Amino acid sequence: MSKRNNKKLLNQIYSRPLPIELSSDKYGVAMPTLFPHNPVSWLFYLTRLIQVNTLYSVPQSSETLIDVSYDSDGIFKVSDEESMAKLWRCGFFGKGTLSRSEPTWKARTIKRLNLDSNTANALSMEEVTNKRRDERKKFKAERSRLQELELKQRKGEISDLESSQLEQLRETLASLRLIDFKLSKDSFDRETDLRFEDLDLIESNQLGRNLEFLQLQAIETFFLKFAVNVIRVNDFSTKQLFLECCRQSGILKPTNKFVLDYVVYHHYRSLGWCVRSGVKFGCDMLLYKRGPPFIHAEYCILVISNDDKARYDWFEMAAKARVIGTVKKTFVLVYVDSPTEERFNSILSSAYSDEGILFQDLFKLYKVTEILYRRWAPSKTRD
Amino acid sequence: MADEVDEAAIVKDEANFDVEDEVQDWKFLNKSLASSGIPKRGEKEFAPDGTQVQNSSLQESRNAMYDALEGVRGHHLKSKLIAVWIASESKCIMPHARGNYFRDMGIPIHIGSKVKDGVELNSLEAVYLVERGSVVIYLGNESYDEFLKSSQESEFDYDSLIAMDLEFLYSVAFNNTGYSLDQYQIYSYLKRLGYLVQDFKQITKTDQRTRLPMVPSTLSVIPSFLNKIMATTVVKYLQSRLRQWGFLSYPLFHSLHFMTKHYFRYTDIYKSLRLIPAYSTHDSVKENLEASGYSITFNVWKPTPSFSKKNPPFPDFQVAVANTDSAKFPTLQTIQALHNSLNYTFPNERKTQVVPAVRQQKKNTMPPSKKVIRQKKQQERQSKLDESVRKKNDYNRKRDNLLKYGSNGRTVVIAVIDSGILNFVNLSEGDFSLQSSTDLEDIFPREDHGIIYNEK
Repeated sequence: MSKRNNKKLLNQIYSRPLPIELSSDKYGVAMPTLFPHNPVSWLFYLTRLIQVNTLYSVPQSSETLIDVSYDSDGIFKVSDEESMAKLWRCGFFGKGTLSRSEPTWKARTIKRLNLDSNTANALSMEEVTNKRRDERKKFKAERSRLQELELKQRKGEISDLESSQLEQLRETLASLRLIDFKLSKDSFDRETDLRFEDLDLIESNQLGRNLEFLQLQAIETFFLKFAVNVIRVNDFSTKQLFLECCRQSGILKPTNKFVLDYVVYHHYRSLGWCVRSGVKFGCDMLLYKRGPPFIHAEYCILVISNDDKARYDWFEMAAKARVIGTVKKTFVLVYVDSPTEERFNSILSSAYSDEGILFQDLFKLYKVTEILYRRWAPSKTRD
Repeated sequence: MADEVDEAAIVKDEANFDVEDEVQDWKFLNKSLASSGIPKRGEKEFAPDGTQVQNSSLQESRNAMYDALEGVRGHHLKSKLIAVWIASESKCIMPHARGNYFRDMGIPIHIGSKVKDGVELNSLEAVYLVERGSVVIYLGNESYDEFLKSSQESEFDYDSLIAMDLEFLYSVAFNNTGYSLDQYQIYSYLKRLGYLVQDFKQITKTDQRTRLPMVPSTLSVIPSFLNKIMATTVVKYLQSRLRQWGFLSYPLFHSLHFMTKHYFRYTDIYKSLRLIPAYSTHDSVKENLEASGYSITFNVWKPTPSFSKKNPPFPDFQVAVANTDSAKFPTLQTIQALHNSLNYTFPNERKTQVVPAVRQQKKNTMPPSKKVIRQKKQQERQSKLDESVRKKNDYNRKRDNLLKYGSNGRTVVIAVIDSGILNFVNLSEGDFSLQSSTDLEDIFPREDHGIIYNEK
């Protein structure tokens, strides 16, 4: 698979950055360009607008809402396969519970059990990682052999045969260092032996059920409900969902961790970033330009309430910054201003004809401020 | 399967390599020993291997250091620099200042007819010069005061004064002088690295707040009477009817909005999702903020041959000093207050600023560094590309830089000290919305530079 083909394929799979379908994609219609100083273009635009509105129904109106179930375990689950795929592909929402991120358990298992001859050859992400690790292991074995010989040389107890081996090893290692990891499907032996518990999964030579579900973060769930309205969580209204999410992270107050996180999450989502959890790097969120398959996350977000009560100290900050710095990401402190308890409660308890508008009014009262934290090494910047 | 590389892997390359992380190898002082280097930190070879090879190599290096330290240290009598600590005023004067040290150090003084090329040194400068062995310092007494005042005597016998040792100097220099040992640690570290360091001061005549360019306030497009008409019951009834028939979409954030409005670009969807008010560049300049527990201490410049103490250029770094014992991580208000007190020019001021004459650079005989080679290659590759692609690359690169380093360059360095261990942190003003970026506007005029998604 060449890099360009690969990219083309990725662009195709992940063509939608949000689980919303564009009218232009569905019907192949496009709006003419509007030139503010040209009244003719206005007229053209207007007729087209009326045309589109009367001839075509809005794509989202015919989409069924994705079912998210929420039980006493406090987990937002998506179990339907199509929905799982849609949420992952359109914006990278959620995580497969049996996979690294994208829910691939089913595909992996089918491949592992050789239940479908068509897909048996393609490598999943997890397999690629395994293969890389194997190659690395081989390299390390060679290296330790080299070091052993070098030690012998230092001790002066090396034989002629061994010193010629040493030279050879040096060359092999040098060349191994130069070679990039290559995906060669042929050299990859997949285990095909059946485990006892596999028998449970197979029904008439097919995979009987999918054990995996997609787990959503609270902020993701609320975004999908409030901002783009493509899901249904039990029979919760937007407000009920909001209260439930708040309850998960403490008492209901303007600086509730869920609310602060959501404000920041919405801010970056609305700027087109793909936002995922930052727990691997000790921060709250990661920002990806398009999404995990395309490019590494570039920014690490730490959400901080701007009310001066829970302040981080220098040591915590330095620890986070060090981790983030070594993986070449940028550390962003996001301070959130929140409204008074009074304003917060009064909006939450007012009557609105639509709850979307209620939360629009609520979140408008927040404000985010970004501060970039970078370590300065004076010895490196002098020249 | 584009990026299978483990994200958590620590990359050891040029950019990450810090010379300071390595142990100094003193063998460079003694050419005959330079045969083998000392073991590098972090490499597997450093583990004990049962031989004496590494040990003897380290010992050799250590001995070379001791040899170096044993050398006689001194200076020529002619270039001997003398300073006098005036205890009554807690300051240090140097009657005859000569040499290269005073490009950034000291304030020129004249006392009567005697001191003409003298300088007054602050505590940090005095301790730094004495500590590095460049200056001999004496404790001033009454007879020295009289000598300074009188107009007759022209010579003074400094041997009649008490020569101060470092311990003595330390004890008086950081006691009620307005300077602290913490500050000295930062000062001496930066000086030893070759930076030019001065006490922080405003270089511009007025502070940022008075110079903030007027931004035309955006007037509400719809006059208020139109708003009133829109709110009448008749109009409302009409709206709801139109919505029922599917001619009019529900407003933004209404739960039915995306089911009733046609969208043709994701950029437009993102625009309609914009909701959270965000700090826009220079917002905090309008406010009167106070920095609690923090203030900027130093102006710092990279070494430059054309530095003028009288008319210093804008500092490259502006440093505040904090001790972990007493200072917590600053609040947002404090960070912004520090940003407000920086030496800073607004973008509109920068354009009219006179560009200083191009520095005469000595011809570089060294082979070009890897960085330079990389830049050259990059340029070559860029020049082969199509104009529009180049423009797009240029735009993306500029936007990345604005996101990564802050959109306006307001940056304060905080030097953190924990029991003598130093750590430097840059805090810059970020702006992911990129609402007012003229740089990007010049390349691609659009109203939504902050939206990172690239439309197909």
